[in-house]
Amino acid sequence: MGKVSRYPVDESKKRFFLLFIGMLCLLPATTGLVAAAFGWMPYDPFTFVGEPNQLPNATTWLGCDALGRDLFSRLGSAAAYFTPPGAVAVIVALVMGSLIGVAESLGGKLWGAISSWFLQVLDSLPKFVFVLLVASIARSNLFWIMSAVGVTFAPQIAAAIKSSVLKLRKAAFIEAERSLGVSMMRIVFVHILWGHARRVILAQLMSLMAYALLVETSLSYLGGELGLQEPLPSWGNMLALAKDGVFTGQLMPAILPALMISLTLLGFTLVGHGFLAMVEERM
Amino acid sequence: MRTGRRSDAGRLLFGLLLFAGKELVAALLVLVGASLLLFAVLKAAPADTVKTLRLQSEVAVTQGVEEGGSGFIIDSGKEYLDWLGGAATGRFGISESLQKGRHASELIWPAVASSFSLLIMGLFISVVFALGAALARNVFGHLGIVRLLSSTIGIFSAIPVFLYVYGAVAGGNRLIAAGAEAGWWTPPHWFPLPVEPAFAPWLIAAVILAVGDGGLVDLFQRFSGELRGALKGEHLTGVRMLGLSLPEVVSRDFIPGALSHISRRISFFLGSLVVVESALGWPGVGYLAWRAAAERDMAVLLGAAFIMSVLLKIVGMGCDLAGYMADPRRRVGG
Repeated sequence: MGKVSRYPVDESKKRFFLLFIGMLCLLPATTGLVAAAFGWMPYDPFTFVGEPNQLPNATTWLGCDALGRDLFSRLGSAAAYFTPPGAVAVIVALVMGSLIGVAESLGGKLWGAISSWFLQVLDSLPKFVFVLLVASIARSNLFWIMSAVGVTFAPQIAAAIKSSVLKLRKAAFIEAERSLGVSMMRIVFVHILWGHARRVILAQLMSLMAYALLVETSLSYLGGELGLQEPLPSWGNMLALAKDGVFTGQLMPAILPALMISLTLLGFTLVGHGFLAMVEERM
Repeated sequence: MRTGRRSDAGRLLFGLLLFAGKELVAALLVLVGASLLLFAVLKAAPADTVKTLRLQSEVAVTQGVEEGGSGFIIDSGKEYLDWLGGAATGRFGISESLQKGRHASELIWPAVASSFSLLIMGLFISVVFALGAALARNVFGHLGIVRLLSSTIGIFSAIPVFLYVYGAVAGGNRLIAAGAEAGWWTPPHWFPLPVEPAFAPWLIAAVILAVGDGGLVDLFQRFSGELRGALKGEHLTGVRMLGLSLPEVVSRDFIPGALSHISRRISFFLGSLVVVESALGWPGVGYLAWRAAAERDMAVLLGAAFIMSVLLKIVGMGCDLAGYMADPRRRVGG
């Protein structure tokens, strides 16, 4: 059953290849984000600068959308509108996941049981529907929606943290640190989580970012005042706006946001796999 | 000998019942927690943001802190128990906007029935694809075509389901219309599941559900990992020496882990179901949940969320029981 290969596979090359391709996929979104953050966009994303569905030319590099707004500026601004709420999802998931994961692995029987029950409660919620519930209350406030995404993703982070803590807490170097009087909090957060489990946690956070983007674009695409609303730019609502144009052959305003969504999701996934490959190589 | 067998079967049955009982109690506790969390989110909402939630007793549940009550916590606790009592009997309150005045359960149960076959078919396709690809990767992983297949799965699965639906609607309408006219798109007589009248779009939606939103690649990678672990177990040398069936031992090692991944993935599948049904406008529980959220019909939304939680727990329990049956080590505590 074992694999037979004429040439041994260089795992470090595979790992760097995954990370490189992943970062390449994230490059368009990152460029848009940086350009929007520093105000380097050629046009205001809300201003009508050309004809509806105008093709790319020297002034509007990627053409215009169905209302005549610059597609390049709107694509870049969409990345900028998503990033801060996405960061909120990461922070919420990281804080909740860390607290619950550490309580479950080190908190003794009572705290362990309570944390475990709470994790199961979070895990038993249908993630997207829970986000819908929050979205219906928060009315397109992306920060609240992304907080809900973070809450639903906390069990994955907690599981990664718990397994790392349980695996390493009896290791010789941890015993040595304890005998030197290093505090348990420092051992857990600095030496175990940061020193040994950061790549696993980063891989989980990449999955979370991918899921957050999926939720944001899906909500914005579906409408119903649940995601980002026009005129604010989101790749999801740009795609929804371009729907009619597709049937009349105006493909550019639909293809570009679709490409951005797919590339960015693929990028997050590949970078996450790259981090996991690094962990596997170490093991 | 026969007595020994009978006592073995009895012990297995007793162990299974004990395990199922424990699982059931744990699942009920978790469901109480989940319903409490859902209700707490609603209660935390400012009063002007959502419509009220009317229970069976026609008493409106209020949002936020209310003046002059017998205390926010006590009032909220009573309202929660009232709602939970209704939910336990399959009634979730009165619809406030989707179909004003109707019981939410009258909207939710038909929608659940309508979504069921799509969800099962999507999951089935995803599991079969992922299992096939994981087997190919672990057995023929050195072949270039298998690596190409793995990469292709990764790329196609990274595409969100609503993009697939978008593409299918934009590009496939004419093809499907021509196929339907020519009579190609009717379900074969042996097909076991109840389907939409338009079979081809239903099947395409199931494939989209199976592949998109990262579902396929996630299952594929987790199955691959489980299979790799099962094939590399040190006990396999002993299995060969004793002349035991290698596929059976590997399967028993692989199945519990694989089932736990499937049960975990269903939560994401339900999310994809909401998007697919909403994008296509199909009358399932996903579309109902989205419309309820868009129109702030809290009774329907809360009911749909609770039903999905129950579904997740039932599937999780089923997977745990199947894993318990498959792996003898779990029965003897090894």
